[in-house]
Amino acid sequence: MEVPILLIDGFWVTSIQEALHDRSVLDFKQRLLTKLNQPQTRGLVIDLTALDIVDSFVTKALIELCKLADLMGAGVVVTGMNPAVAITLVEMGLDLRGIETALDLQRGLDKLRKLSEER
Amino acid sequence: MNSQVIGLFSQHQEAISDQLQTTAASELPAKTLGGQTISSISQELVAGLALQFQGKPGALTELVARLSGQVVLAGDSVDNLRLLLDRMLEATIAVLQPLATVTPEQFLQEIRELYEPVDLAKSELIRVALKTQQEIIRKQSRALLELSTPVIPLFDNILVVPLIGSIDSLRAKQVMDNLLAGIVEHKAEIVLIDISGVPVVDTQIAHHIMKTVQAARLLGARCILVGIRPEFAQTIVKLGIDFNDIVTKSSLQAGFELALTWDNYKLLKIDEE
Repeated sequence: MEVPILLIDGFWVTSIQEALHDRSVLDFKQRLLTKLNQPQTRGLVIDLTALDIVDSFVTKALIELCKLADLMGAGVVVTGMNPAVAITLVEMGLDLRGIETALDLQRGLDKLRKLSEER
Repeated sequence: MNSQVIGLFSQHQEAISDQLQTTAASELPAKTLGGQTISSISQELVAGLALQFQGKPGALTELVARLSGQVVLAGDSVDNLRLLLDRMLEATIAVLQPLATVTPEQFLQEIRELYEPVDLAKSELIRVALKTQQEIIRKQSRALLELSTPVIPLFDNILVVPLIGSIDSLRAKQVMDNLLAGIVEHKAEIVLIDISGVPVVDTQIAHHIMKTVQAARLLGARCILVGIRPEFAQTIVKLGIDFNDIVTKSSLQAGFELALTWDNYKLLKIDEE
């Protein structure tokens, strides 16, 4: 199933539901870039509420997505991360300092709004 | 094929039990053991030993196992129970020797038969006591873990996590789990981690704190490390640990004030005129 990418007030919202595979990640990245390229883009929210566990592949994909969106000039906020996922990411020892986070979608959007005003 | 001594034992149970109770009363200062009176335990023990020879081998062992658990749970010493078992044999000899018609050598031979179940019961006593004690320790350490890592909602969106006592990796993990669960449960945005109750800090603990802060940040919460004592600051600098990413404040009050400004609140003192 395709990961849906929805537009709300100029912010793209996408919710990752299950572990991404090589091909789906490539496809997803491509679709996301096309969306971000649209002129009304103000930012991107990646919601992980439905994701219970992550592996290094998904993590790498996530970091890449954030960097890509950042390059495209869109602010990114990762929301709804599960405690277990957070622990995994920290245990992996990845540098995630550049990634903005929020507890849930609402707060993520609030944060993104603030960010896009600053930009 | 019961010998004479065993027969006599069954007949004179009450006398032996009385004798045992008298000895026990003079030797043991306490009246009860594991919530049961010593005299009733004495009676049960003698009856249990008698049952051994009435077609219920293992009766004494079972009884002692139950009593042992009871005694340990009540916080009494199992040594007293062991003493009772020894005194029971002595009381048996004291009561039966004058009654026995066999030769003294024969009597000694026959009385040995009584020793075997008592020895078995004694080893069971130690085994159950140890097991019960281990269970108690396990329960207590679990309770201690739960008690020692509280997560307190302090204010709108603000949590406080006081760390008290030394932190090992097990507790560090517990702290992280509790903190992350607390963030999700209370929808917190700011977490004050108070380390004023941690006696010594080493690289390990500092590393754990860093990881906890990073994990909390991934959930969208910002952490403020408060209660930094001068020794803590010195250790951190001396060990060359990079704490640059973490906001620190010396006291809980200072941290709370900062948290309020982050949360768009302002503390106002009202003038009383």
